[in-house]
Amino acid sequence: MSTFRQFSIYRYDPDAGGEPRMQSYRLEIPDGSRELMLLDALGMLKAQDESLAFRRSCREGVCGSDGMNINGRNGLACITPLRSIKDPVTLRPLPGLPVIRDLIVDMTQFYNQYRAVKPWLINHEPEPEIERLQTPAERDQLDGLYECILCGCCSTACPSFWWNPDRFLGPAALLQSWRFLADSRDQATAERLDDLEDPYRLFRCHTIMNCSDVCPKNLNPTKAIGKIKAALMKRVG
Amino acid sequence: MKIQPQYIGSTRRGLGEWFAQRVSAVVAAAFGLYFLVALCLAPPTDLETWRAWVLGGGMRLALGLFFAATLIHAWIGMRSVFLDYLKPMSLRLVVSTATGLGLAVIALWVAALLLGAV
Amino acid sequence: MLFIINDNAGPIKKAFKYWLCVDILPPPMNAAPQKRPVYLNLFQIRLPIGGMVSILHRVTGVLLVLALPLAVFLLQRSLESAAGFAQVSAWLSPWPVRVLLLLLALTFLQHLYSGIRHLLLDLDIGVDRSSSRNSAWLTLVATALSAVALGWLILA
Ligand code: HEM
Ligand code: SF4
Ligand code: SF4
Ligand code: FES
Repeated sequence: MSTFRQFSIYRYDPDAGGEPRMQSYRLEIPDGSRELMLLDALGMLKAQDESLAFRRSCREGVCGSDGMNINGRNGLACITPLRSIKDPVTLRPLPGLPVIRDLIVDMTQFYNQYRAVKPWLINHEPEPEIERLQTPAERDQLDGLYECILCGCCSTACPSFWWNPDRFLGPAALLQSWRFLADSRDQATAERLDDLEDPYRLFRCHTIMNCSDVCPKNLNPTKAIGKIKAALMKRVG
Repeated sequence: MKIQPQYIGSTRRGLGEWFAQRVSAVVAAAFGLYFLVALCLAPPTDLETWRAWVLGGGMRLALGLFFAATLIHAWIGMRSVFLDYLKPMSLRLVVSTATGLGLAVIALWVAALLLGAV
Repeated sequence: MLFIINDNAGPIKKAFKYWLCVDILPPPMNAAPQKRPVYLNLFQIRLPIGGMVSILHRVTGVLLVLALPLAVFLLQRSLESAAGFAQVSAWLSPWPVRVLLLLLALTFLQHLYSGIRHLLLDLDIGVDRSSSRNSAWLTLVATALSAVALGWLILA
């Protein structure tokens, strides 16, 4: 005995041209198989139809490469149990980004936003012999920030990102911006805040919270964005 | 006409509008709720009591504050909506000019009403 | 036409840019335009409840702005004379008009409730997944309860 699952998957082949279409698949799951993740099922489908394209690498939620829109909601295929999603399992690429092929999107826009927040430590003091020290309390400030795997699930679920991807930084980049603003070793607070303060980069965020709702690592970009706004308020008094 | 803006340097702008939107929201919420509840509990029955209530000293001031806050709130809010959706600059110019003029007319109208032109 | 605005642009230039809502465009970060499809079908993307409430907040906000002239008009008419007061009362008494009035009041209350939720989120209150979902539902429940209470008051 075995069970069958139905899939409906977004297909686009740039070489064939034409419009993207949805393709149905049926997958036989033998009884007694171990608990399957959606990524396992995708692998089994690829064995049936090797033209099916998707990204994956770590298969355990740390590389951030298999973000996709699963039954209308962004998530990582590798840590989404197949059991938790209803038939037909409808898979589409992350919303709002150009589709290269099937479930693979062009993340250039997303990485440009990330780059725009200068995601590195800026410290003008001479480098110490060993390392720049932090107290445990200072280090705690980075929890919930450094864990981001840049999967793009949050930004591509954010309406403000959909409408203004070229000017609004999006939740992932803003979370990283706060990650460096909150770092006791970083000395570029004023410049970072200057860069954020215009009506687009930060303030296109309307606290919709779609980002925090979908983040597969349970991070909270909205909270980080709130902290940035609070820091801006604090500096004017 | 193609308007192509270019921006250099930090504008230090966005926070002020954001904050004004919140402060005006608090004013609008407090007064709006009071007005709605009062209207529901005791609907005006004749001109005299209605005028006495709405145009009484404290109420006149409160109404003035409410409309000032609401108009600022509405302007920032509509601008925010336009910033999100209206991409062609010429369209944005026309629509935000129309909105601004409309809100300005309402402001003058309310001022005339409250300052006793009627 | 290319405007350049920087920190020392003159006040007139600044005011004009402000009016256009363009004084503030940071340089775009986008990659070169591509001839690739983009998946962005709002009927197929499942919006979290917070997203829905946020859209409602926006819709009711715009509706309120559109209703503003009407409110000022009614206020002025009802205050100007006994005849004006009677006229406004007469306009507002048929039941279809009362239904509209009820909808307007609910528009205001929905915006008020989700607005209060917004303000609390801005104060860092309830900014986690489950509380924000709950508070989003709460604004809807409060609007529904208000509909019942106000409906009874306005229509009865
Ligand atoms: C009753 C008390 C009110 C409260 C608590 C309130 C609260 C808010 C808040 C917090 C926002 C910001 C949302 C954001 O940043 O995305 C907002 C937006 C807005 N409000 Fe209000 N508001 C109130 C009354 C009004 C009134 C009376 C009007 C109309 C005259 C109005 C029109 C708008 C508009 C057009 C927006 C922009 C919508 C958007 O950006 O999504 N509001 N309101
Ligand atoms: S914040 Fe979460 S959803 Fe967003 S990129 Fe990072 S891990 Fe992915
Ligand atoms: S809270 Fe801000 S960043 Fe997050 S989804 Fe909403 S608008 Fe986007
Ligand atoms: S495959 Fe690495 S996060 Fe899913």
